[in-house]
Amino acid sequence: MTPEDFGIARARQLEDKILELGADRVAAFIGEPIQGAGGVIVPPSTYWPEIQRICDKYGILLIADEVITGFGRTGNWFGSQTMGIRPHIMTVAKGISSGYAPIGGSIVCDEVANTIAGDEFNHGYTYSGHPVCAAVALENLRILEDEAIVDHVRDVAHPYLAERWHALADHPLVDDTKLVGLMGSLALTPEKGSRAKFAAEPGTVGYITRERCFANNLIMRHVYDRMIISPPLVITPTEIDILIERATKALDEAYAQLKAEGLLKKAG
Amino acid sequence: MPQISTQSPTAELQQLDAAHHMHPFTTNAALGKKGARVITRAEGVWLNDSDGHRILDGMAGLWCVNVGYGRKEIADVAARQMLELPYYNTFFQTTHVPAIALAARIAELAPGDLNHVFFAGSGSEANDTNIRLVRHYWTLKGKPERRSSSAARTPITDRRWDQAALAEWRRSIRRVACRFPISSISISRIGISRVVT
Repeated sequence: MTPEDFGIARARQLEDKILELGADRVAAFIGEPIQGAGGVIVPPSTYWPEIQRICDKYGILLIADEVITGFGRTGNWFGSQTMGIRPHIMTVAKGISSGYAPIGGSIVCDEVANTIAGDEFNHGYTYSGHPVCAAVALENLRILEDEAIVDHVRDVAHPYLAERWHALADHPLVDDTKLVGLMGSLALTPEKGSRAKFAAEPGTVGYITRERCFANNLIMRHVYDRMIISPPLVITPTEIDILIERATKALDEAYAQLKAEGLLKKAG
Repeated sequence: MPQISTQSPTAELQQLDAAHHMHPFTTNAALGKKGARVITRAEGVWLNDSDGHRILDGMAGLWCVNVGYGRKEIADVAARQMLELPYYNTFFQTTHVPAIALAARIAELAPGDLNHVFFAGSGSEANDTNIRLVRHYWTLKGKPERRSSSAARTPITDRRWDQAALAEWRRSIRRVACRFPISSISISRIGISRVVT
C-alpha cells in the first residue's frame, strides 16, 4: 500500500464511523494537523484533504488542534495551512506566548461564533484572557512577525536541519526520519529497512537513547522507541550542527549499550 | 526551612523536590531516588542546570518556546502590565486592552473567517471549551442529537507506531473527559481513532 492510499484508507475510517453512528448524531471531528506528542506522526498528503471532504459532505464541524503546530512550528503560521485544512475551530496555546505565560484559546469561525452569540454561553475560566498573559502573547507575536521567524523556519532552519536530520537515517539504529518545519522524529529500529519492532518492552530503547542525549547535553524526547525534536524556532545553522553532532554521539552510545546489553533483538 | 535559591546545593534542591513536589507524567518514587535535574536559567536555545551544564533544548520546553529563551522585551511587557492591570476578568460585561488587542491580532493572523477567540489558560482547557462550543452550536441549530465528537489525536500512523500513538491519544481524551460528568462521555473506537459520545 502506498502512503497516499494509506492516508485515504485511514480517513475513510472516519466516514465508516459517521455512517455507523448516523451523520445526524456527529458534532465534530478534532485532530492535530501533525500529531505531536504521539511521536511526530506525519500523515500522508492525502489524509487531511480526504478528512476535509468527509466533514464537508456530512456537515461535521472540523477542529484543528494547533497547540503544537500553531505559530510557526511547521513553517507557516498554522499547521492547517501546511496540511491543507479549513477548520471551523482551531485550538491554540504554547507558541502563542512562547511559553512565557500560560495562555490558550479557541479560534472560532464566523458561523459558529455568530450562532453561539445568540445565546448565553455558560462557560469560562478565571484566567480567560488574563491581561498579563495576553500582553505577553501580543509581544511574542510581535517578535515572531518583526523578526520574520516563520520565514526563518521555512527558508533557513528547516532546509538546513532537513538535510542533516534525514542523513541520520544512515545510522544503524535509525530507520525512518520525518521532519516538517521544525518538528521531527527518528524511528529507532533493531533491523534497518524491516520496520521491525524491538523485542524489549516498547520504550526501553527510546529511554536509553534519551538518557544518552541528556548525558551529551541535548534534550531530545522519546515516545516509545521514537525520538522527537521540536527546537526553538530561532535555532541557527551553527546550533543545528551542534544538535546533530550531539544526537549522533548519543545514538552511537545508545547503539553500543544496546548491543552490549543484548537489546538489539527484534520482536518475534 | 532553609533559604532556597538557584545558588542552593543541587542535592538539597533535589531532596526538597522529592519530598514535596509531585511531577506530572512521572514515577515520582523513582525520580526521587535519582534526583530531578534542576534547570536554573536559559538563553536562546540553551538551558543551564544547577551543576553548570549547558544543554541544547531540542524540545523548546514542551514544544512551546518558539522565540527562544531570555527575551527581555517580553519580560518588560509583563512587568508593565502587572503594574498597570495585573488581573481582571471578562465575565462581568467587562474587557481590557490586552484581551482586545490579542483577539484582534489573532483574527488577523488566522486563516479564512476564523475571526473570534475564546481564551483559556492552556490547550487542554481550550479543547474542553471546543466540546462545549460544538454541542452548544448544534443545540442552537436545533440539532441537539449531534453530540458525538470524533477525536483523532491519532489521525494517522504507519502501523508499527499504533501503540504509542494510541496511548497518547487515550491520555489526551482523558484530559478532555475529566472535565465532563462521566455519564456524558463514552469512548468507542474508529479504527485507530476513538469517538467521544
